[in-house]
Amino acid sequence: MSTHFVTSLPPAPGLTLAPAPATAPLEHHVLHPQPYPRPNPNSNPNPNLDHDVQGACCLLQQPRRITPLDLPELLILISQYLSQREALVCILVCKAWRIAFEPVLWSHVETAYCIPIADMERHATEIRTLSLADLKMVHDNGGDTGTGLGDRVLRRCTRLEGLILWPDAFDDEEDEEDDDEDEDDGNDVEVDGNDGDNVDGMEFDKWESDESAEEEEEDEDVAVGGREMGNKEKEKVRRDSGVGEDTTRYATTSAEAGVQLLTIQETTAQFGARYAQPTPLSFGLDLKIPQQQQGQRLYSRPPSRLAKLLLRNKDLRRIEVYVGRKSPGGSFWRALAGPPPLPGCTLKSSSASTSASYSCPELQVLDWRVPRLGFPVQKFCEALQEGCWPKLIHLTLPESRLSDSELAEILTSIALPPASLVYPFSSPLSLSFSLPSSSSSSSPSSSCSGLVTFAVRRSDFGELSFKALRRHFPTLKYLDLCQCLGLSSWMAQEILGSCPMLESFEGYQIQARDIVQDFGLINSSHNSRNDNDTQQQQGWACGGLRYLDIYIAGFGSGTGFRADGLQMKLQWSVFAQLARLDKLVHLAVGDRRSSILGARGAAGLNEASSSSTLSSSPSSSSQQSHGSAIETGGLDMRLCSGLSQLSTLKQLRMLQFMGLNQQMAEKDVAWMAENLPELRVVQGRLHTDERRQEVLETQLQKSGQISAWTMYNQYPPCQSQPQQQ
Amino acid sequence: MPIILQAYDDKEFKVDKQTAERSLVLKSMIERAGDSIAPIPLPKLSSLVLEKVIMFCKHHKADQVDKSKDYEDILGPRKMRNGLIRDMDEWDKEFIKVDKDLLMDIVMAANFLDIKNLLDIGCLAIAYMLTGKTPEEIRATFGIPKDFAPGEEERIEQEHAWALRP
Repeated sequence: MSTHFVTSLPPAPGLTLAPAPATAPLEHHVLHPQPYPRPNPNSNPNPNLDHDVQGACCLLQQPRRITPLDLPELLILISQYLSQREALVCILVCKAWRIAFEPVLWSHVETAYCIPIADMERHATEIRTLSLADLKMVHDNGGDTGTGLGDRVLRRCTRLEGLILWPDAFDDEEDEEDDDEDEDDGNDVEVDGNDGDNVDGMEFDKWESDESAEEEEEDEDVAVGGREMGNKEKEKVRRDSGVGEDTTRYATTSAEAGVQLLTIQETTAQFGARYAQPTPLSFGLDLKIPQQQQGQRLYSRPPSRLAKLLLRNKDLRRIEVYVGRKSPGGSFWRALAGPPPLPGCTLKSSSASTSASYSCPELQVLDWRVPRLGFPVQKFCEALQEGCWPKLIHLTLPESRLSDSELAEILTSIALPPASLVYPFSSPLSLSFSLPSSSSSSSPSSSCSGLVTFAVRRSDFGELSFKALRRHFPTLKYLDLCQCLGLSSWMAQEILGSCPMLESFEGYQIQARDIVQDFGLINSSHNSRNDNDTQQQQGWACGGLRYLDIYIAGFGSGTGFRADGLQMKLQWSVFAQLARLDKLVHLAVGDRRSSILGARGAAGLNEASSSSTLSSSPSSSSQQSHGSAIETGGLDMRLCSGLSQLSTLKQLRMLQFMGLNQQMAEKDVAWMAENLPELRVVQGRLHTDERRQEVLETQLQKSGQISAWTMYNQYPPCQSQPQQQ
Repeated sequence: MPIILQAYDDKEFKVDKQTAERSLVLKSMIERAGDSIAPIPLPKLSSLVLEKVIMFCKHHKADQVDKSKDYEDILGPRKMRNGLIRDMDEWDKEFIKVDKDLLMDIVMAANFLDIKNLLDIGCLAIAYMLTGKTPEEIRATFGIPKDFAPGEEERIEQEHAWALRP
């Protein structure tokens, strides 16, 4: 339809949107409330006239109507659904569109895009998510003062909602010998952090460890937490941290850093003054500064760039840190967890409300993966209890760094939604930190909606953290405990049995017996665990589960399926349980370890015999579930073993049963293709025999457009040849 | 007690309260007027559009939660789109499959009446119409005049060339 402009109508909204007259279209609306020429009621004697015809008549006669594309507020709404590339097309349509769609284009910026700094600076306030993979860009461009053009970009970013920090930036910087020191100071946030950190004593020593990155690099295998770092290393940290370095550089930096920095500087001075007072003051994290460690150097440097970035961006909702060798550092941490370094700093947020006085009151997502470095557990817990992040509900913690007790402490510190007033101090650990009970109940935690995401892959998650996790069961939706060897079968069972909101769960392994006994389908001789039976008689509570990844084990021998009565019963019962999860999209019940181990591994796993494991008491086996104690033998994917029950999983797209020697037949495969309409990928070997495997694969592809991925399940190529012969 | 809505062509629609209250504008009108509510004239809406809108409200009158919120929180708005599309139920998809002009009118009506869900899926549908077109095609489709100064277009394109990365 070619639309003609009628001059009397919205004064070409495209032209008018630009600066002031955002009201123009609106005004028009008010003045001309009838977008259609209002028909004379008399001229339309038949009000039942077909709507379409009426509509068509209107279209023919009307002057140009206002469409959503004329209203800036709707354009902006529309723009939210466009990708950057699509938005790029739209800004080339007309001036008004440019204004409406540019924010989309700039909403997500990564340093890797290599955007000219001047452009970036101009649009800095439109940036909502900033991914810093290359701080060099923001560092080097302005010459040697350390306040390059890039700095100006960071300084102008004031409306960030997401901040993502990648390790590359830090690595790159180390390559530049000359700048190394400077950049450590500036970018890495670390050195100035150290100044403050020393104040705090032990806790931040872990943070300083980034300075000794090289050292850590060397012992790749050491998986100990930062806490266990040797004294020698700490010393080195101290030495390298530049604590005693000159403050002149700070002077130059601050002189050029503009208003923002001045604000901070001011407050820094103020803070320093405060600390000169005899009694320690109490705000936030800086509360416990031992007096004897106060010194001239204290806060003699401003918070680093990234710390300042945090302080400037009150709307930050999401922070992701993927730092490999260096930690984001102390002042970054203070900016994140603390109140703004100092009360005086809150020039902008003069309101006295509690949440406004913290730096990141809007934080919802914290994804903190600093694998090599420690995590300031104590600080973190205190900040949580203080209510620094009243809205924090998604938490991802570094892998393989946190001990069971530390995880427990963190979980205990996370506020519960107001409805649940339970605060079980079941874990002895929770006594080790002194939580003023009033602070947890009266603090902004009342606005907390409860922990939704908790992810600590490959960590030492164990019994203590599990107990602490219990209090979050009512709200948990995404739980990732992938490869947490300490996650025993009974814990997994309890999680599945008691988290009603759960949508995604990745665990380690779960014993068929545990599933089944709680389901009440196995005879009582095997039913030796009673403590949780009452609540779980109904089977798993997580009816909305969409993603499940856990090795369901305990069907006897690892390599083959023995169809004796008990096995069969277990099989059928477990399938029955799975069938109740009719929202499942991704179901992975296979053993990932044996796929790594290959043929010999699988054979080795075979040793655990079904009879012995079944007769042993479940609780004892669950305690020793680390490593080798896992009962082998996964679900047998055949109709005769109960597969047909899964016909309820109409949304299933991915089915994984790696690491088992299946002996599927054509009818099983045909059943899958027929009854699982959404199924696209089957990951796992269908049959031990190569030729059978091929036949079945082809059949899957033909009948259901399902691709079979056997790669991860196949014996490694070198070994598969002998197998065939 | 049914609420009576009048389209611009004086055609009247009777809807129940719950349906009408999907529109926040109507809701506040109903709240203010109490039981003695007179027919509400909606002179901006043709009966065709109003009928569609009422159809939508009726279908969604029992909706409780706003699903999009969830996605937005976790994934940010970009990915929210995918989540929204995935979870947009079949009924909505069918409902919004209308010709361009009707779609525009529905979105205007949703905006005017403040019906968030309808506005969302309407804007999503418009956004879909924009995808895969060149600026020139968009201008032609929607009758938008090109008002850039000579050379301005090239300059804008150049400035944002980074967005074209693979």
